Amino acid sequence: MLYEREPPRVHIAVADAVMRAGEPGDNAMTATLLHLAQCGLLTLRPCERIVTSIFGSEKRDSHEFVVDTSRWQEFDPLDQELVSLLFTTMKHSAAMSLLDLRVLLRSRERTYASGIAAWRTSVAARAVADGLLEPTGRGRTAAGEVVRDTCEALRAYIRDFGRLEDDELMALELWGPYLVWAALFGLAEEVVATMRLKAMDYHDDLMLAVETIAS
Amino acid sequence: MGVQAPNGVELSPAAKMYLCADRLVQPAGMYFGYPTPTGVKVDNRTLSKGIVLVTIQSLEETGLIQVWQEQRKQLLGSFTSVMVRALYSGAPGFSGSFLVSTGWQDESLVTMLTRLFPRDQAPFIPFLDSVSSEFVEAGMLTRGGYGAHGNVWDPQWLGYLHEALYPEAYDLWMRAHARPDAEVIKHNTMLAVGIRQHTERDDDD
Repeated sequence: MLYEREPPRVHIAVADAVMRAGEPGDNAMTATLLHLAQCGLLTLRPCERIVTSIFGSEKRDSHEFVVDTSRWQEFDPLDQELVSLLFTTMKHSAAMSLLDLRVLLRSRERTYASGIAAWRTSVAARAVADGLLEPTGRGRTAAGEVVRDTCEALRAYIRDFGRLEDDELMALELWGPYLVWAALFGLAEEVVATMRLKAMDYHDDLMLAVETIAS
Repeated sequence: MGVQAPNGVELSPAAKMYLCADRLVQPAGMYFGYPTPTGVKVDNRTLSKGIVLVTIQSLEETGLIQVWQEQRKQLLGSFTSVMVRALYSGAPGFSGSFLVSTGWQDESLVTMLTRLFPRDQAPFIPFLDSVSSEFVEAGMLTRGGYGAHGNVWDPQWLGYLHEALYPEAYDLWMRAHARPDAEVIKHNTMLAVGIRQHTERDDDD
């Protein structure tokens, strides 16, 4: 089995599209948001929300993603499209709690479905433009095969070594940067479950985001 | 400096009443109760009628509409209807929808309200929900309905606006209810709701 420790140098959603030889899957959005959080373009912080229902209202703790609008030019156009969909079109705000997100994905299902479909098309188009997918958007080019192989080797590395019972702080140091890719591969929960004992708040927050979006 | 809403959104008087409803309208039980942002349930009929009153009051004060009364025939009898003429456009939120509902001609309030109240088993509730859409635009409310998910409010904006808008909301609410035609407007509102209300007669199936 080949292992790879260096992620491919392509947008994480594009990598997913290449792996699937078409449009990216459900984990691509989660991974993209987490990637933006790791880059500091989104901040993930604790917050409170008031939830009003027929039973009254209650204050609930949550976490919110906040877009750093001052760095908007640093966002990749694919990220801009996704952030615009979630924050501008759906939430109408630069701050969105995980509670908001959970409610929005259900209450504005059609807006989300059409928006995310358009985003997936854009991701596939980028993969074509980068020469990773064939012009039809189906089937990988030779360069795409290299990216696919790199991703598969990275997935194998995270899967086989993500449970190492190292010193937990060491594990956090080692595996933190891989969380984004673990989320793409659907392995984030496994990796964080291993680290959770003493994981720092930030990674717990990321895990909460992964779980919320996945649910 | 005026009260600032998020995203620079200009809230309509109706939205301000909605936000402060727990301090303006009497509480109600499960049957007629409408959950206000703070969680207190208030009488949805009183709040809806108050919102119509307040909207007319504010639009008239700002010179955007003219209002008068007319006798209208209905079946074998007649009733007094408030008539509305929209003079200008450009009001925010629900006030804008109210102006549009005239069709830009002299129109009876009953007809206008049949355009604003959705056809429903309980028209008051979707009507009030439509008023709250201004807060969705402002980014301080995520609507999830009244079931398990609930409506998610930003507590900081909600707390600030609830306090800051109350004096203005209270003043307008009182002036609107002191209008000489207040009872006619309320009566017209109930007529419109009667027209839009339907019953699911599933026992006929």
